[in-house]
Amino acid sequence: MSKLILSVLIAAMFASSALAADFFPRFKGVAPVKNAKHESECGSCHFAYQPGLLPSRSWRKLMEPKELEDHFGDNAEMEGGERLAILDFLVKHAAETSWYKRATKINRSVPKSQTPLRITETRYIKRKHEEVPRKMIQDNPRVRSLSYCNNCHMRAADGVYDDDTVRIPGFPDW
Amino acid sequence: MRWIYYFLALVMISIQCMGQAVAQDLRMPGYGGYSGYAPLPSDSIYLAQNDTDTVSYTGSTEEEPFRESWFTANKMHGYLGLSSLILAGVAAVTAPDDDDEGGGTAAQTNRGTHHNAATAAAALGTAAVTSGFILHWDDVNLENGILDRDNLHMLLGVLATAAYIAAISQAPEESHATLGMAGGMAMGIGIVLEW
Repeated sequence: MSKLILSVLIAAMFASSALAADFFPRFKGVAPVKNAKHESECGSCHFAYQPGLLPSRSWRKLMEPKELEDHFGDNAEMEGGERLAILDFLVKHAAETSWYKRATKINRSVPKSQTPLRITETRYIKRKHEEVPRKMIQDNPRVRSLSYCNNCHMRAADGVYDDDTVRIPGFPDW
Repeated sequence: MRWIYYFLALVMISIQCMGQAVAQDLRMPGYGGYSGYAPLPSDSIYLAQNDTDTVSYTGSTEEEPFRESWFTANKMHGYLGLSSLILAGVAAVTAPDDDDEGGGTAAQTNRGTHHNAATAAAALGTAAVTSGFILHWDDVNLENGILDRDNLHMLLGVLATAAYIAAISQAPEESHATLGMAGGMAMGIGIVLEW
């Protein structure tokens, strides 16, 4: 009898485990922090990358006025006050300050001597995507580059980047 | 040694559940499946070879809002680990006191529940560890040191399950309780690290 009760208990536990993620916040991705200025200034041109995707030294370098003048081929200059406000937000929540798993893994994968300016240049992100063939990313007109995280990571805006939430456009069976 | 049969049965059931979850993840090429994926709207499905007409696909398209499935191989791995931890807790709570050694009906029921819960915890732990190795082998990487969260999670999961099994095989010796508790703690920390 106790085995039967236990079996029912196990089934109930599976169901409650499924619900657990809804009740207890998870820390697997990067912190889904938001900032209105960051959203409007950076998010107007590209996905507003969460600060946890790069260490603070990278954000500092990226947000230098000279760097913003030539922001990967575009001019992204902004007012001093706004720039500093966004920089403050990015540094405050940068990868090394985070408990979120992917942020810590990104931070650990970047040698202290390096200051990557692209998230896709970090060793962790490279390693996680190395098995994805070109045809699914670079040669896929609906994705084009790893930089467009949210084209495939359906919950990127929530800081969730796991396999379960990936949908590669045009490749349902990836 | 009847617990071994119970243990194996639970491992087999868990593997069966994992198989279903993996099967859902591995969709047939060219077939949309039922988790929100579908052929491009321009594609057509031929209903019969001898019919010249084609019928446009009217099911879901990729433009549909994304809905996360609650039953995937990754999630199954998580459910197994969590259930294993909860059952270890049930085993701890139902552990018979030293005063129960006499063997009244209540004490016997407690002993049965304690033993079954412990066996189930070990079985589900084994299934969780096995599925973890299958699904997340590429996440185990010593480049970032053993203290990397994924490495620690794997290590603690393996140690916890080994401790569960050792505790069951040593029962009813007194040392088995320490092993069981150590296993529960290792499993708990391992889960928190990946939560």
